[in-house]
Amino acid sequence: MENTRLFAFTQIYNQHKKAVYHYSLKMTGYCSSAEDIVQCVFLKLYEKFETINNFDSIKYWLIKTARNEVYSRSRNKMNGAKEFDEADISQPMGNVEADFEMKELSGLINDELNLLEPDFREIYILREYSGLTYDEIAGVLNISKELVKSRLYQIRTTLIKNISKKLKD
Amino acid sequence: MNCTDYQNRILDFIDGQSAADNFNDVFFHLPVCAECREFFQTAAKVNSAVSIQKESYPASLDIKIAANIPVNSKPLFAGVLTYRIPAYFAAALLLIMIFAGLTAMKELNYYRSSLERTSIQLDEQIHKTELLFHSLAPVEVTPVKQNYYY
Ligand SMILES: [Zn+2]
Repeated sequence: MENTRLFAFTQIYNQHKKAVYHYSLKMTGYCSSAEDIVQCVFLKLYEKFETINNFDSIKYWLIKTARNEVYSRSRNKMNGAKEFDEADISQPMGNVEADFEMKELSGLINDELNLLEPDFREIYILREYSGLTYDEIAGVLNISKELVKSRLYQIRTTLIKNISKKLKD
Repeated sequence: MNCTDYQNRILDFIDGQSAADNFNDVFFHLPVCAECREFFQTAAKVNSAVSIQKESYPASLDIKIAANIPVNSKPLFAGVLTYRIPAYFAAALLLIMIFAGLTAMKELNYYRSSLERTSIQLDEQIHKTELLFHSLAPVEVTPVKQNYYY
């Protein structure tokens, strides 16, 4: 029934839209691209709703679908276009970043993310912004859970130490 | 344990990978190590900033998605009376459900309470650490004027 599908779809959308949005935003660097990807992912979900039988791992499915979109778009953009421009990210994304210190900190986090190797950056984004478990990240990136864990330690330590240094300056 | 071990424990604690009980070793190390103390404080700040960043979402996107859902006009009641839901009606329904935030409220409260729990835990740890730090370091005690009401 259409109503039942709409109801279930709305629940999933409300529950996971931010995870998909922030993954896409951090990966592409553009609000407009992130919005397109979110729309594309949820429209796909709606189309394929009847064929999905395990809703427990729906977030995993959504992020994997978003990831495919991110990478197919970045391949299409390769023709001389700037691949990642974080300019949009440093813009306030709503009124939540009104607090000055938080705004400064958000900027520093974005700067640090830009300095990371793409593989490392994605691990951090998948954990921090999409909230995937270590197992799910390992599944998305096709690497071991141990590698996810050790890389996360490495990334976070570097990020925190660099930010500490900048906050003192 | 060296400082790297302590810092990894701090990261696990902030990431929710370990309980506050496992934080005891760190708790005793922090007052005597400026580096780890600074690491802990910055880690907590970064965690808060990321939590705030993650909460933002463009409201216009809800409308865009609701408007673009290709709702087929499928039969609502099969049988004698076959009524088809017009697409615009279904899209409106979707929009209403999204805005009504049927689950969003529950979810928001869940996130809010888990965020509050984490920040309370962090505050408690920072407070304990400060207390311990002050008890170890020779501090000049400034008398505080207090009013007592009986
Ligand atoms: Zn230390």
